[in-house]
Amino acid sequence: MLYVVQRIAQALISLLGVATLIFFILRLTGDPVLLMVPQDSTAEEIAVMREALGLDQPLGLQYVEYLGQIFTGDLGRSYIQNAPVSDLIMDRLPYTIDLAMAAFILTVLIGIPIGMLAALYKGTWVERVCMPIILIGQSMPAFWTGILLIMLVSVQLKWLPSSGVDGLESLILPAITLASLSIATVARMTRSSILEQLGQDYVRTARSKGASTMRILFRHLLRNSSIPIITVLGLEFANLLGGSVITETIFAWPGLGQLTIQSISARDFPVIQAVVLLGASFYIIVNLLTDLIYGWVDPRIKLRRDAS
Amino acid sequence: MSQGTTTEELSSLATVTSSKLRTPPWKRRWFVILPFLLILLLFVIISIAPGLFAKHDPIYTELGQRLQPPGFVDPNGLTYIWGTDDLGRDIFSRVIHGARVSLIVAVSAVLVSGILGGILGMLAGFYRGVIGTVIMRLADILLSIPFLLLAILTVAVLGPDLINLVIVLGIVRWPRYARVAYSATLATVNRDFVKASEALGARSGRLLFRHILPELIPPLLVVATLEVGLMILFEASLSFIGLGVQPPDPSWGSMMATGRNYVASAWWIATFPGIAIFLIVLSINMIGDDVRDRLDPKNKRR
Repeated sequence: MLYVVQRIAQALISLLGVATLIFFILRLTGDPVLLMVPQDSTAEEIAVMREALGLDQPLGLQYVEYLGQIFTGDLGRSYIQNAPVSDLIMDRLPYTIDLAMAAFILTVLIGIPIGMLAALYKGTWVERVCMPIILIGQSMPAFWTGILLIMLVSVQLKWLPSSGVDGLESLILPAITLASLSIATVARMTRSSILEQLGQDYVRTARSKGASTMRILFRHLLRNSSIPIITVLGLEFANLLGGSVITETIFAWPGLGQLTIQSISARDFPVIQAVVLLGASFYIIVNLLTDLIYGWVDPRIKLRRDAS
Repeated sequence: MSQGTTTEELSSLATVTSSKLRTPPWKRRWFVILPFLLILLLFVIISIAPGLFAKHDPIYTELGQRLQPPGFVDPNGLTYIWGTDDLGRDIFSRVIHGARVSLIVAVSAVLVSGILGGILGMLAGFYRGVIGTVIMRLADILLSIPFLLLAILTVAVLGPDLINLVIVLGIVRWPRYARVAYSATLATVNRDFVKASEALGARSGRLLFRHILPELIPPLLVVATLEVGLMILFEASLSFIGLGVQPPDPSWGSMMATGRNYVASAWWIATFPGIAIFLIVLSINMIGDDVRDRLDPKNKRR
């Protein structure tokens, strides 16, 4: 229990740190008002704007107010579109979640089996097929995978649309693109953690008792090598949400990534700040959850950490 | 302790000799890695002397001959072996000059983040206490922000340009090195040779730079090798969304962003820079894995 409380406290500190970091990065250039007002504004207009946004107050006070706003869920208003940032995000979030979920399912369904096969059939042709897939996946940038898929599947074969949101059909290519790197990472991690376990005594014991490969795999290996796999899955899921910026750009997918890009070119700082904050919070929460899942999969960890 | 090492060394020596006797050269590790070393060498030569390879000006636009396919010959008899882009620029020359931009950004970013992270991690491990906690907590926080988002935010604020790109990548990536340097320092400060030097009256500065730093170089080098590949990918990604290298400077990422718009009509615009990125990142990953396996046999292929 102590462990759980400690981990939650740690996560809260990280969140606070992220919020602070974002606040100071946004003030790095000095006066954000100068970035917002039209080029030909007079000094007076600038002053009015500054006051309206509360930017005339001391930095410390601004910071406290900013934190207060965040923790009450008020993310401010967009400079460009006359709407609260939270509304803008809520419009886009479902699309990004769809994409990330689809990519995550692909990652689990493809990444883990490839890693298992490469480990179990080490030294045979199966490994020689699996390893290049992993290595290629790790070295392909998402935008190149996406463009290749569009060239082959959309332009040449005309099977699937190359952009837009039009039902499940248009989700397939973006999901594969977004998943490609995660598949490689997860497969690699699965392979190495199963290889590590394969050398253990209990595997030999099970084998000498006559257990089949399948039984050893599912009853013994998977459970014992699940910790690193869960970690990497958690991190990859959080990365999928962040990584969707590139994929959404390629496929004109109207999610958070597109919103980010649009707000950057419009210098709409409240929106950028909110998206980064959201992404980071999500990352931290997923990290926290994976750590808590550890304790459930492998009770030894919890005991060890509680003791220390 | 020393005896254990000797037997270990002996047995590893034995396996080396026996494997040398049995495995044919094409199955040895250096042979597998050789093509990737050659590819990397080629890219390094290209980026040192792009003029040797590219005969066209990479930023010269000629709208009269835009979107010409590979092998196009202009009225002056000049060949464009990889075709031209939407502004009539030579793709081949842009890919060649893009290698230079890409490698310069990646290597500088790795140097900035490696030196920054190495020193901070070393200090955190050596002094521990408040300094150590602050540095390592900051590292944890930075690591808990999705990297691309943090880079996007920072570049959006600072404005996209080459120097800013290096600074951003450097600032965002230092925690990776700091963690490695931190744990290596913790493992080193209590070793006998450091204690002995301290007992003889060596000052902190001497301990840090004469005794601890050399121990940190190999693990940091492993991280750095793999990071070069990642930095190339990130530079390309940021350039792809318009936050990296700015036009008209050639960058593989921004070339591919153009290529995306002409994917149905002019496949060559995106394909050649794409192959270039893939080849160089693959080579660096393979070499990085090999370096890690050699320096740290316990941590094979993660």
